[in-house]
Amino acid sequence: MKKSESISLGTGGSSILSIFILVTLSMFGALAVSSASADLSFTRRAESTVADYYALDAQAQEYIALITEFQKSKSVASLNGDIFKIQGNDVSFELNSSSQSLSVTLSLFDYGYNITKYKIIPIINGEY
Amino acid sequence: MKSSKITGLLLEMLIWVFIFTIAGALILNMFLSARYTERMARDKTHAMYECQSEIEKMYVRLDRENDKSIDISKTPKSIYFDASWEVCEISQAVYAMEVSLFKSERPTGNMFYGSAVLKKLQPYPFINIKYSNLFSIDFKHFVLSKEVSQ
Repeated sequence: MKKSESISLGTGGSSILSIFILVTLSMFGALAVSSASADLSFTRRAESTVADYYALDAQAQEYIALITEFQKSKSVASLNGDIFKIQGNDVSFELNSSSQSLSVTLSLFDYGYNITKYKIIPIINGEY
Repeated sequence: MKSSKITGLLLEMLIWVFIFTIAGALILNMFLSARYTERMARDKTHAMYECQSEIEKMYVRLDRENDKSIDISKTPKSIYFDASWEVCEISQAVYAMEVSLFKSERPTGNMFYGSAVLKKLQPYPFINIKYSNLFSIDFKHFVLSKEVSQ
């Protein structure tokens, strides 16, 4: 009489299966952690760009206040130099940070101004 | 013979239950930490948009109403958000934004300055980062006084 043969994983088989499951789970865990960290670092970069923008904006507001003070004392022309460029009634200046630059032009009239340019230009360091 | 085989199997199972418990705890911790890091990243992005939006709305109000009608004493102003970032009452709040505004007088107008800070009221579990400050920003805005501009 022929004995029926059955395929059995035996004692070691379940261990191999368990190791495989553990390795797979660890791999997925590591991938999830690295993906989340990448997301967080990307968010932090965006955050620093926004913080940079508001720092430049704050500096620009200080300059605008300064220009109006010179405008009041009718001595805007004396501002012409390294920071401010004056062309007719237009006063322009540029502010830089590590990630962006803010270019501003004001068109002055008697006792006031119109902002004709308030442009943010990203500085790309070949990362993209 | 048979009983020693059963003992061997039981011993193997016991060892594996032990290994699985330790590894399971570690892997579960990894998944949870990933989930909450992801959530923090999403919250930080949202916090950034909310702060920017509030600051820009304030700029518009400052420019439109000019410096006469701005009541600095009403700041810091707190805005509360629920888990889905809808504005809510303090009792349901998950996030809180505090906007402070100050005024400094200049010869030609007023310089408004302040900060917007958005916090999560409860810290994130399973993450080593202990701060709950999602986003904070300082701002400045100059408003030419009406007397000068007229």
